[in-house]
Amino acid sequence: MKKKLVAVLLTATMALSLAACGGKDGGGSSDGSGGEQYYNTYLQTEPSTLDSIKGNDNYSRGILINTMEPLTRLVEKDGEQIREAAGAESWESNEDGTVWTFKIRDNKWSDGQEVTAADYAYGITQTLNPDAGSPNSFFTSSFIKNGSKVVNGEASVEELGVKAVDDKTLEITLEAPTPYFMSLTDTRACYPVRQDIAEKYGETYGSEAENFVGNGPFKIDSWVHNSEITLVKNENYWDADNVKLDKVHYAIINDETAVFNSFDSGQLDYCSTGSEEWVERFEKKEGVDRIDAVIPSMRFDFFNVNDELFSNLNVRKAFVLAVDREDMAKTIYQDMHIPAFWWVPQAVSTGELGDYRDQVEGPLEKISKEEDAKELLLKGMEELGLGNDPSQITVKYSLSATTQWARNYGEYVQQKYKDILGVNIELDFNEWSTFQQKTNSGEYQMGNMTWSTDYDDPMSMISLFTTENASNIPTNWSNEEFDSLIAQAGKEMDEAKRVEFYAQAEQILFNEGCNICPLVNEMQHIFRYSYVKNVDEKFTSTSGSKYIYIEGR
Amino acid sequence: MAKFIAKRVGYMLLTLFIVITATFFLMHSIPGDPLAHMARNLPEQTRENYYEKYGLDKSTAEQYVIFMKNLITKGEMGESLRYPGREVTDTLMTNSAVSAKPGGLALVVGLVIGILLGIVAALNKNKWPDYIVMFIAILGITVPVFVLASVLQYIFSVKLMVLPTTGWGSWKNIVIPVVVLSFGTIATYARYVKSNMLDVMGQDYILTAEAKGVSRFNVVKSHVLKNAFLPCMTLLVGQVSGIFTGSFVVEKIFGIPGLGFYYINSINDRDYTMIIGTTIFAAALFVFVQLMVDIAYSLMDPRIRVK
Amino acid sequence: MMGNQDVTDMMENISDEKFKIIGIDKDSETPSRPRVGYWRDAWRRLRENKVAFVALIILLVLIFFIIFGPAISGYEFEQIDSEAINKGPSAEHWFGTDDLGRDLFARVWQAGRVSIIIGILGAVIASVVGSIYGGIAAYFGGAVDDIMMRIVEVLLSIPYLIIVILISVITDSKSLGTMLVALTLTGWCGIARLVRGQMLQLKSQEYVLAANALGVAPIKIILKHMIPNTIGMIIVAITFDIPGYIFSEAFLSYVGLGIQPPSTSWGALASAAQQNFMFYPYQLLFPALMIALTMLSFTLLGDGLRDALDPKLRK
Repeated sequence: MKKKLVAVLLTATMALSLAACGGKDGGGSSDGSGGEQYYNTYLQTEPSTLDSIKGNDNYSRGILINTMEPLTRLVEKDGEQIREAAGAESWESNEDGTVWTFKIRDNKWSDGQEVTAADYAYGITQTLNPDAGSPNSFFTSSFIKNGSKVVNGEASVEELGVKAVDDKTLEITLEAPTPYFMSLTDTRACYPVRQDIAEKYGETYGSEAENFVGNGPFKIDSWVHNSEITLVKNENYWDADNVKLDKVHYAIINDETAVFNSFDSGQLDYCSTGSEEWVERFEKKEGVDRIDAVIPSMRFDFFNVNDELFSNLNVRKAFVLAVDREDMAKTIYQDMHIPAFWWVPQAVSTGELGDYRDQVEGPLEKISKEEDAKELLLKGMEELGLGNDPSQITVKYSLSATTQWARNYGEYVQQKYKDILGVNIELDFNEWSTFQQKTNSGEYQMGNMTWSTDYDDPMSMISLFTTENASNIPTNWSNEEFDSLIAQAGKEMDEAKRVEFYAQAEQILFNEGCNICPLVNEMQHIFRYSYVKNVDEKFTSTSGSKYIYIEGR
Repeated sequence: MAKFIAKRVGYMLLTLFIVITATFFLMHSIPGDPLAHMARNLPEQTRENYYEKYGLDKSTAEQYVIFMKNLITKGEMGESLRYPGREVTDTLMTNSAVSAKPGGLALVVGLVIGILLGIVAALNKNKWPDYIVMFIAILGITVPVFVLASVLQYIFSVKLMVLPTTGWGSWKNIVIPVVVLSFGTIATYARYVKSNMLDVMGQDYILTAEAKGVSRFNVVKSHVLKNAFLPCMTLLVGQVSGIFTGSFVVEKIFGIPGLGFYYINSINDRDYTMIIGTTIFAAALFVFVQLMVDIAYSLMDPRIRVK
Repeated sequence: MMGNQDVTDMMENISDEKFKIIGIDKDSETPSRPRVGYWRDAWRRLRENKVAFVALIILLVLIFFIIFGPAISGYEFEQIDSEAINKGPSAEHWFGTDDLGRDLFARVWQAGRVSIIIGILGAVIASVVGSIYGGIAAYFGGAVDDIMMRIVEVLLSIPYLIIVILISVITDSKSLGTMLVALTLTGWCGIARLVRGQMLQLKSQEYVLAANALGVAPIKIILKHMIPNTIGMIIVAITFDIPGYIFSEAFLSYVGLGIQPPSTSWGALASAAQQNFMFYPYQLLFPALMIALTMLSFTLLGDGLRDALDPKLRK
């Protein structure tokens, strides 16, 4: 029979017979090597891979930010976020902002090799190389010269505007001036990758702790799949003197309650919760800090404009206005998130001008005061020739999870639409993979999703609805004026003018689109033992655990 | 005997073949996108490359032929679609070894306690030890596993803080999982052993032995136990494969990096290679243990003589 | 010492007056008790088994509430009340409310309908299919038996969970019907094996052999011997299987594949409450208690039925 299968069976049987002999006393998670400079944190799911080109989940992002050195890092200094030189010692652009030159810092990989500009160039190029199959190409494809063409196989990789001029100089040529280009330099589309290592391990690069090298403040010590990842300080790191932690331990815990219990009993130094009950419980704990922060992430419904019912703007608007966002925030989210009357979330900044939402009022705030949902629905139904009885209408509402929470949420929505609009909602719970397929192929009426910014600029959110990017949230809505506003904003180097373009575009989105229905703007509620010091609390920070230290554990 | 084994092994392979084939076509017929875990929609060209790389652009029948060829000639099941660079066979090996620890221990504990309780209950039929034993045995399985597991975790890890909540590596991590997992086995075996023993004790040869004046202890020892245990062995088949397939809840709650995770998540992720891998593993284990039990049975039970 | 002769002498010495005719007792041939049928006897023995009888009563009470409970509560089981979220048991809400402010008393009994229906129907379907299948296999024997048992083996060796998940994904529906199909698709295999084994064993029993040798018609053997000897076992298997189906449904709810809202089940309620059970233990207690009571009752009743229906234990 099959050799490997037999081996599998044998190990299973052997392990079974050995099981009675008891477990090994492995390195417990709490006692670090010697001192107190260790930090115990967690991941909710196993990272798919540590290959920065192939992986795009949040879980690997947390590990990579600590094990890799991006060109720059967004760091919190005295309450202000600043872009700090990291992998690049310095950078400059030509006059029209289309050619950027980065001077690469003297740094070493965890295996002792010098870091070169070619390592960065390789990482950036491979992300856009269709043969490498990177899900991260969207970050840079429309900005770097010939990016879109390369991704679509229309131009060769050599034509890409990325070049290692010499060992320490990286040159990136852009398609057009991009005002927020620097905010892309710490995304994983711009991480360095060692070509020799990546090619040596091929498919298995980044799948195990051994098949990976990094150049960040920490290096991977061990990775037990689905269980834990241990990082230790990287002595080869250029700024090793400023790295205080000796060890960062990530427990991989799928079960939420188990996470909270672990934090409660001190096995984790940190946890994030969206549950009122746990917040109250941890509030009462001694020596624990609570940090609440709005995060640039939206929960929203979206409509399939090609659907007969939702082809009508008034019907869509009715569904958008029918949501009682305050009640939802209270009943469903226990006031852990804030009601959202906008599409571009809070906590997204526009360069020096600060938070975008401080400058522009949420468009829905005004609209919801002026118009009545039920009237709009009846008007829309009339336009569609559907009569005037909303109870005749049944809408299939597709959710992207089958969890208990999703069920509860669905039941709430079902009730509320019935109460307010009088329409029937048929709930359709899907696994993520099914949901993606259904919505992408247009086999849905209305769906529910969450989206967070990819980089710190309103563009990241608002550009999702241009005709070109429409496939991300497949509402099939398209508007020329909207497209042109976004295109103008993309080139506008003046911050105030750019904000104005964004504001107009967002207004159009709700006046003429209503293909999305924002629900809440997410917040995060973090609890951390007070002995953990110097953590960057901003969601958009990319300093990772570099500056964290422990005092008085 | 050799002929018997050869025949059974033949059946075994046939069963496996049918299971693999059926699962392969079933799973390809379910809707869902195996690349959906890459939250963003991939550019068309990239997507095509992926499909080509994993052979997803071919028809299901073609994919099946390729898969079977690799499986039979190389013993390979391919690479996980969800976790790039991880061989399915490697994942199965590592994780089944983990699952085997708490699961195997729970099986041993459950067997020993269950059988002891069953004997006690049978020898004291309709007296208070019988009632107590049966009550305990049933009580352990009246609560769903996820309820029992979270309640025990709360008591021992959060309230009393004597055991870690989650994790893997120390013996402390598997105490509660073993307790939770063994409840089912205890209940099953206590009841099964009891009813089998009562059955055997009503047989003529036991009456004969008692009439001859053989002491009760000796009757139980040399006649009842052996004959009562034989049928219990058939139960073992389900119990052993249950170690790997039935441990999802416990492994999730206690953060044990076992195989249970992959049974559920591979289907949710449409990780085709992993789905088929876990199925083959479970099916192979099942038929293998079945074969072992059958052989043991035929060696031990004089009534089943194999020609 | 008395010799033989002495005994004879003694006999001769007994006078005839010591004997008298008392007539013929015509009733001596008929049983002193009225003849009791199989079912009546079983019922009598079940009643005598206090544990099983109590279990039966608990079940009847549960079923009463499952039927009338939602009406008694005075609340709609799906009515959301933002003002009464997570309230403990009180005079208003006897079992408290859940995280959407819905009345748990109404929900628990409403959920019981789904759980009990899945339990009973699932077990009955599986038993009927399994018995027929096992019966056919045992009756025909030989190659037919061999093939049929191989099929069972194939079905049993695919992890049950994978089948259930695949079915619910393929049908893309989480209605009661598809749940039942998914759960029973392989559920009958165990019973099929059991029935087949029992039938084969019976075929070689001495009394069946004797009946055969005496020329009793096969149909009569099946009716008189085979069925009474297996029906008890099947009924017992059903009672033991019912909790199994309720549990499987609970597990599916836990992994998110349970019954579709607004319908709910005990398993769905329990897994909803699991996350926050340390804050609202009553939300977990009531559904878990109902599951436990049902489990316990069916198991104890099953034990009682096994004793009551076993022809070997007939007095």
